[in-house]
Amino acid sequence: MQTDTAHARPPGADYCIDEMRMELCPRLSAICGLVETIEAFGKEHNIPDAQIYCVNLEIDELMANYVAYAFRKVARPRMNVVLRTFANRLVLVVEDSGPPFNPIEAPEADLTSGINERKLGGMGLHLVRKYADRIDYRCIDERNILTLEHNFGNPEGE
Amino acid sequence: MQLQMREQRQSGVIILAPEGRLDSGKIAEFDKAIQERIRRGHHRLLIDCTNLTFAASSALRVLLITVRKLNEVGGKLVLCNMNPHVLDIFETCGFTRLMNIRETLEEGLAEVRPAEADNEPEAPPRSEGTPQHAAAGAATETAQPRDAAPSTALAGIWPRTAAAVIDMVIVLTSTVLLDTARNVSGIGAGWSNGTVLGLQAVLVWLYFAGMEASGGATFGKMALQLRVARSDGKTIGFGRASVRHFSKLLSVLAAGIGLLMIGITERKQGLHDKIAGCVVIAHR
Repeated sequence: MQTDTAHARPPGADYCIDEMRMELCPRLSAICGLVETIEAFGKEHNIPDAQIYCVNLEIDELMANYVAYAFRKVARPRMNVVLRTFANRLVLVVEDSGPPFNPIEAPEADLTSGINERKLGGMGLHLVRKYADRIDYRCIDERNILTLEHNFGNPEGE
Repeated sequence: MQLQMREQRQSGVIILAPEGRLDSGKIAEFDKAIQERIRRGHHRLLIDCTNLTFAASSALRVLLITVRKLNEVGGKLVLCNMNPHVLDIFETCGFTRLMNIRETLEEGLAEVRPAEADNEPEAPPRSEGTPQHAAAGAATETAQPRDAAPSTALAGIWPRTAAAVIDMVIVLTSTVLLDTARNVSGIGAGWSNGTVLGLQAVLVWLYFAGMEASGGATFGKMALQLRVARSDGKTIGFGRASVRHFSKLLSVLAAGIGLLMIGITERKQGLHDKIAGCVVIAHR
C-alpha cells in the first residue's frame, strides 16, 4: 500500500490518493476476511461507511458470480481487486481471467414476478449495477476489467 | 469465518437471529440451518435481523426458496428488525413485496404465530394482500396440533389415483350419455369422427381445467377432499389449470413416469404439476 501524503493536494485536483491491491483465490470463503481489510482502508482515508458498504457488497456479488459461472471454465482462475481512493470518490476495479463477460449488458433481473414465478438469477449483478455510481467494462488481453465508481460529497471548490 | 446465529423458541415459532454479515461465504451454512429446522417439522420461522448488517443476494435466494417450500406445507416465514442497509438490499431486489417484513420482533411474532392462538379456527383466509398473507389461510388447516407431520398438506399418489378413477368414470359416462343424446336428437348427424373426438376433448378439458380453476377440484378430487393449488397454496387460474391438464399428456407419454413422479418427488408433484407449478393439497 502506498500512501501519497508527501505531496500537498492542490484544491479540486482529482488524483489517486491511495491504492490497495489484492489477489483473491476464487473461493467464497475468501470474501469473509476481505471485509475487515477494506473497512480498515476506508477508516484510514476517512471514506464514508456507505461507500465502503457498496464496495464490499460488489466484491461479494462479483466473486459469487465468478465462482458460480466463470472460474470453472478457466485453467488458472484469478480475481484481482484494486481499490483506489480519490478526493471524493472510491473506485473499485475487479479484474478476472474468466471468459469475456460484460455485466453491464447482462440481462436484467426479474424484480416484479410473484413468489413462485420469480426467477432467481441476476440479482447479484443487479445490485452491483445499482450500488455503483458509474460503471465501466473492458475486455483487455483476455481479462475482464470492471471499474465501479462511488462518489462521496462534492469536490472542494465546487 | 463462521455464521453466528442465535436460536429461540416462542409460541410455536422458531426465531433465528443471524449476526453480522450474511455474505456469500456463509450462505451454505445459513441455508442448511434453515432447511434443518424445516425438516424437523418447524414451519413457522421468524428471522430476527436486529444484528444483521449485510445480506448478499444469495441470502435472498435462500429466503425465497424457503418461503416457497413453507407455503406448500402451510408454514410461514417472517423477517423483522431489519436495518436500513439490509432493507435497501431487499428493496433494490424487489423483495420487500415478496417477503413478509415487520418492523419489530413483537409484530413479527404476531404475524408468524399459529393462527389458532388469537383467531377463531374458522377465520376466513385473508385472500387479499401479499402472497404471504394469502398463505395464512392454508396455514390454519395444517397448524392443528393433532398432526404435525411436515407433508400432511400434500396429497399422495393413492388418493389422487382414486380421484382420477372417479373423474374417469364421470367423464366416460357423460361422454356416452352425450353421444347417445346426440344420436337420438339427430344433432350433428353428419359430423365426422374427428369432429366428435375434438368436441369430446374440449369438454374433458373444460371439465378439468374449469373445475380446478373455480374451486380447485373436480368431482373426483372433491370426493377425496383434494384441491389443486399453486405452489404457494393459492387457487389456480384457468390458464394454469389448462397447462396442467394438457401436460398430463406428457406425464402419460413418458411411459407413465410423469405420473409416478407423484410418489417420489419431495412435493408430491407429477410432471404435469411441475410444469404448471402446482401441488395437490389434501384437506383434513
